[in-house]
Amino acid sequence: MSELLRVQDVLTYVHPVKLDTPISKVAHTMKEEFTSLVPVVDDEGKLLGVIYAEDLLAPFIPEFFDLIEDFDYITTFGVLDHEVFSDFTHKLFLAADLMQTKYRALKPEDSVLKAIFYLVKEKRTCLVVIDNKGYYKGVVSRLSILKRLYGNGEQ
Amino acid sequence: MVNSKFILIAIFTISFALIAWEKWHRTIVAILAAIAVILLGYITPLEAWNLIDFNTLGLLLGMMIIVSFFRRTGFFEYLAIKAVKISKGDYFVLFAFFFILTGVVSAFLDNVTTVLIFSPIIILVTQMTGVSPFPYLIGEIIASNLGGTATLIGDPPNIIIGSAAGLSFNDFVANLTLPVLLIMIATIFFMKAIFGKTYKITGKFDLSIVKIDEKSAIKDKKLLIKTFVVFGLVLLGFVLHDRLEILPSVVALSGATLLLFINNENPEEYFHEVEWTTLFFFGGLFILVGALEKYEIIKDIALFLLKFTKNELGLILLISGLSFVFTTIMGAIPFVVTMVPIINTIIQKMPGINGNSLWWTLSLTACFMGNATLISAAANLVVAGISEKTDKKITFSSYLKYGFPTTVFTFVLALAYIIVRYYFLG
Repeated sequence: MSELLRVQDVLTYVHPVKLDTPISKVAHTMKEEFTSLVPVVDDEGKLLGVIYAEDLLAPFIPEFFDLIEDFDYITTFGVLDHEVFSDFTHKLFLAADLMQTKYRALKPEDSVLKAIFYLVKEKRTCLVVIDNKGYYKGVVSRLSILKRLYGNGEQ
Repeated sequence: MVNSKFILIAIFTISFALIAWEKWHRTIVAILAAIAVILLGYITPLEAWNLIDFNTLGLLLGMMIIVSFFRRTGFFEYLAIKAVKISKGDYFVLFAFFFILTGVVSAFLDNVTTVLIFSPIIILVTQMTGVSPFPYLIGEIIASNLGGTATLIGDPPNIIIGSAAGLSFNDFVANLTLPVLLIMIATIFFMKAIFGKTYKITGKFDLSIVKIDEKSAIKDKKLLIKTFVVFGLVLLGFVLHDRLEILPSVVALSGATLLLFINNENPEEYFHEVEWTTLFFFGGLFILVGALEKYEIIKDIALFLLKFTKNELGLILLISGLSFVFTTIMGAIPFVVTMVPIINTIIQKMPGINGNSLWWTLSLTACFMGNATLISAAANLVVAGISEKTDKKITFSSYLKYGFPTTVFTFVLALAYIIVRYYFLG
């Protein structure tokens, strides 16, 4: 029987941000640390919420787009194409504005199978990991699990 | 008997007040009232069952299923995009096209479905060209309620009237379609005047900045062809139903069943799109008003109304006046369900009168008054809900400012048509 693989074995540490961190810094963290999830913590390191890459993109989408099933018949959006982006740059978003406070969190001692289940079921690329007291421990991602399961592609 | 009448009138008044108040969903109120008259022993469950007009419900159900097929094809999106292209960058042409398109589609589909289809596209198109969708959405509400009046199947009040008065699809076409179309055209210019310079519905926009392709909107060509063929047969059935002695409900349900059969998919997803709340609302109202009829309260109301006037012109004006007040407060459906037996009684009491003029008065005025306020018709509330996703929400007062004058305008035109055609020209 192979050894039990736990979440702590595939954990990566992504630097967390604070509530008042500007969104541009959050985006920078994602880019620099190759992650689509950035945790938001308080001064003691307790997890307050998470920000996914989608949360940074969603504000660009006009609200009424929800009403339309698909855009197969549209190539460009005319005035909207320019308005949404120019308007967005004037808005000063902080991490607190965009973070999700309801999120799926795993424990370091959880089985990797549990992580795989939630990653696939909830269509996430990453999940946050906290200890029993709610302190941030790291992030488990699809890629880190794939790397552990399949190695680096070398025979 | 006197006590029974008193209690039934109390149940009726309280129910209609609750429907107007909108604290509870109107369907819950209607079912509650129906159950109350059964529990109190005023009618038996079997009588209640027999009071439900299944021709009305069947016609609505059949059309709702057919519409659910249409919605899957992307055909309406195709039409909307085509309208943008035809406008050639002229805001007023765009406004007029959407107005007429909504009206025409609404003449065959129910109003809520029509506005649910077109409102998001209107918002998209106006935002893409850089103008506020507000006047276009107000136009959408007005057009859906006006257009729905044009045929037997366009608006629930017409279905009720047609079923109760024995008026065929062709009768509605012969009496209402052309005047409604002309009133719609006049309304476009009226709205252009009242929106004036506050909102942009005139001028030009650069169509080249909007890259759209209507052909890509069609999602399922085969389904579109099948739906069109069946819908064509259904329309033919409506035209011939009187001659063939088939009820319109049977025509609509046959079309819906044929589509389900040839498409051979799980019908559950199509049944999901049926507005069951509307059907139950009708059921409750039929039972409630039927109980009033059984205890001759309807007859008493009819005789009371006949005290005010005994000539046709007077009755036309009286029905119009009642429509103006009560449809605004409680909506067209409860008003029409109540008025149908009253008008039937009036026609029985006055054999020399041209009953059809009263039915057309009820249809035109009740359907048109659905535009009076934001709460006068379901479609109005649906568009208001959709507008919340834009910068300029349609509120009760912002709608009233433009909707009410437009309603009065269309109401006066409708009344003029009725008086000239049915009273002066006979």
